[in-house]
Amino acid sequence: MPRLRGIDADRRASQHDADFSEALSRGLTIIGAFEANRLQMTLGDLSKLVDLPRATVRRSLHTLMHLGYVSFDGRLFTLTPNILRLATAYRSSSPLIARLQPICDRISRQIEGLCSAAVLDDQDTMMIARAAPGQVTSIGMGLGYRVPAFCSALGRVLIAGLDDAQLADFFERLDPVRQTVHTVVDKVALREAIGIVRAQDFAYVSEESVLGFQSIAIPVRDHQQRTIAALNIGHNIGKNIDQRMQSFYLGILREHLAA
Amino acid sequence: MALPAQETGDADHANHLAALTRGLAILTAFGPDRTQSTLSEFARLLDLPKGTVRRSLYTLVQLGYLETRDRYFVLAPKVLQLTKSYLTADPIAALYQPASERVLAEVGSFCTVAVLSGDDIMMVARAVPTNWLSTNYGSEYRVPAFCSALGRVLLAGLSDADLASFIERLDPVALTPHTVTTKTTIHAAILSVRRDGYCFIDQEAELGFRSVAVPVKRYNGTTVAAINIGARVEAVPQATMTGIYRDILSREASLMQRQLT
Repeated sequence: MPRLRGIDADRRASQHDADFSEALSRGLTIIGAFEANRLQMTLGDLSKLVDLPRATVRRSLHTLMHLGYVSFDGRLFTLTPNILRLATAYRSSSPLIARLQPICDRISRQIEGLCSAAVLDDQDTMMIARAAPGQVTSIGMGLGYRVPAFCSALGRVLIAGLDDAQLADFFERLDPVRQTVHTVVDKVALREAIGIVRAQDFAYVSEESVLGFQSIAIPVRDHQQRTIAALNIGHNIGKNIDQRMQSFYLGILREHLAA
Repeated sequence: MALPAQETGDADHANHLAALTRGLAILTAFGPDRTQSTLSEFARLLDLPKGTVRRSLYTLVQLGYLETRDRYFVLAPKVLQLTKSYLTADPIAALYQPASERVLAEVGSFCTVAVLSGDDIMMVARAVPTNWLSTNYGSEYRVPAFCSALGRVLLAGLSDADLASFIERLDPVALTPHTVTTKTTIHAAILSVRRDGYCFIDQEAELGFRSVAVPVKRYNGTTVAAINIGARVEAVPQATMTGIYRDILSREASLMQRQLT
């Protein structure tokens, strides 16, 4: 997990920062190390994954057990569903979610399809609200899910909303990794694609992030006209959304967002 | 259960415990009644000196879990990264699509993962050969469950009562000249899928196409999805479909089962 190591390395570099609490940072890093397919880990697994000494990891785990976020069966540490309190705290306190989740629900019902909202988190698109037909979203399934921003419709809308300096910085740091055979990885072409998104004020991406997945997205702006999120309609049907359907979906997205 | 070789009692340990406890208390303090708070409000809430709380808030802002709005602190979306292990347990993204792509890479034919949606099947992941030009074959989003291999595998996973009611309301419409539309025959076919653990169907859902499918089960044996390989009849003999191809699908299904907790 280079990402975890990277964060930790940054922190170590700023260790002279007396106001920064290493103990808090490490504890949260350990929580973040658990994944859906890796909910149970040994002390050794975790220590290797977060690149911290076993004693340090053990101390954090002890605290997390004490708080009920982690359980231990003698060998494996398991992140407990109590951690969902953090998602609940965010979902119930964020004005952005209060605005976007009902919109996702309504659009999903109307089109009987997938509707999501996302924000930019560094180089990734991260889901913050989502509704899918027949799925219970009350616990927030799918939230926090990340895809590289450069190759998703949500991501391109968010990138297009950056100011010129941020955009230049984004592209300078971008190292586009192919996700499917359709992924555009040429930076010049991607830059042009962002220009088009800015001009037409929406993004359509077909199968560049996931095979068989098409998505059309529009920006969500604050009162100062800054892009703060993106809203999309996506489908897994493996068929191109033709121009007529694109206009139809755009109409729905814009209408519900403005309502 | 006690931790292995756990050291207790030392001051460093106590500090460590306190710092992480405070941080999590701040993050979970947010909710419908507290969408934002100031340093003073947090100090009062946690009953701690402002200096101590300031350090926690500063750290959480540095890490991106909190954002500041003037004097107020609000939760940032990044907090969802801490819950991703539960909330992004999206089997479609995490399991089905990679499995389909592995199968495609191995056999060069369509591989699809589908779930039951009413009386139809709905495709949730799919890998398609890159040289596939026609978009008509094998790309249907929804297919009636009764005549497709994926569908019959999913139907075989239903309880007896659910299966009986499916058969009862079923009004089979032939999709090709090969589609079996006799309800008793369909019912019997589904029961043999339940016994055999796989389903092979030749051109009943699509002319010129055959398909072999196996169930994707959870750890407790519940069928949650079905995975198939679809191929042109002239491209792959039936024996290959029900032999090697079926084995490949079973391998993928058992790989997924271990993760579908």
